Amino acid sequence: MADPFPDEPSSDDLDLVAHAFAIRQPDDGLRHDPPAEVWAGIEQSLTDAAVADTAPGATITNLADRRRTRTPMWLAVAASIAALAVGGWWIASRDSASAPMMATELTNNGLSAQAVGAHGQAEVRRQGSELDLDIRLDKPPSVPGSYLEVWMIDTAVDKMVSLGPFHGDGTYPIPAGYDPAKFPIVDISIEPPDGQPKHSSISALRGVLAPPRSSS
Amino acid sequence: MAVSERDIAMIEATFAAGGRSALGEAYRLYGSLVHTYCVRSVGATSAADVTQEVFVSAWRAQHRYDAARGTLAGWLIAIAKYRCVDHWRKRREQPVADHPQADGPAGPDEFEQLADRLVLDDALSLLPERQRTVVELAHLDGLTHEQIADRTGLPIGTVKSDLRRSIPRLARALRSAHEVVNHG
Repeated sequence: MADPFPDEPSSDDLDLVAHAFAIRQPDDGLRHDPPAEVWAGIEQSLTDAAVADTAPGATITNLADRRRTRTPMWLAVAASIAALAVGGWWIASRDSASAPMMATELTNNGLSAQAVGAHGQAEVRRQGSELDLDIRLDKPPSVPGSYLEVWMIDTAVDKMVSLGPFHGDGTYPIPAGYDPAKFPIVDISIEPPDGQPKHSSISALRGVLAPPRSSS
Repeated sequence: MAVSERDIAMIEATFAAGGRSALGEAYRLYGSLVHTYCVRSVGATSAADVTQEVFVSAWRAQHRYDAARGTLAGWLIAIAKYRCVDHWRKRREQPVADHPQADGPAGPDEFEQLADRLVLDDALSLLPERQRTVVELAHLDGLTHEQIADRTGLPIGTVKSDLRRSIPRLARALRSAHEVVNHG
């Protein structure tokens, strides 16, 4: 791999760094963690902004903020993983009916602060002519007053399908006609009991399905 | 919290287009850095509110972040700097009696300097340990390449290459903290 810094540092770079070192103080490494309510406040502001951007009286729509703007870069990555998945999937699916065809870890990375530390796995398995999503949460989030719902989302975050409320570890049938390679994002949302059938925009866990790394 | 280079590369590559989940990741990685800046600029009482404003501003300006121009840490601190200056400006417009400690930092230089110091510290913490030692010996202790080689037992070529790799990384972070971020 090429050396990313092949030249001598520029004098501009040296000046900037020398100046910053010259004013350095012994306590510059001390850090103050923000109190937990700060992230909750940020999430609330974002939700308020999303509501304000929709038509008057409209309810929050599913992942509306993301859809309105642009395709996230991580989804481009997801899309390429999904493309790779299709090839590997065929090979895997010929061998064994019970082995997972696709799998992902589910993590809370960067998602709702209500579910920090939540973790699990999702796997796609074929049962006869149908596909199931098997979900196991080794660290399920605690969401008092709300419930969890299982979703599969496409790589453009434009379309999604609900697999229903999460009722514990087990099998969630994928509705006929939905191809997990096209809907590879497994999302578990936190849903308030508000009668709204749409995604709350609050995600607890997420992962992107891909073929299992090694299938021998 | 240990932040890996991989985490940083990933968030810098995806932040601009990553929506709310990327903002959450940025908060996980840089919430403490930003909050520390705010605590030291506006005091502990107001810092939580200002930190919140910084990340909401970052969300509004998210698509304008360009990893080619600098680090996300520096970019967030540039927003924090603006927010903290604005905080004091608004306070000065109110009667001082309501805010007995309304003086705040002495002047704009203090906001700039604190930003540089925290961003430098953050960027140093991401360097491999040997590079960090070499760059600190050069810039904190003012040692020459030869003196660093003697002190550390490293070949002089290694000392030079450590410096030429680390200086641009530190400068990239500092430069982004000097950006004027249009965050609406």
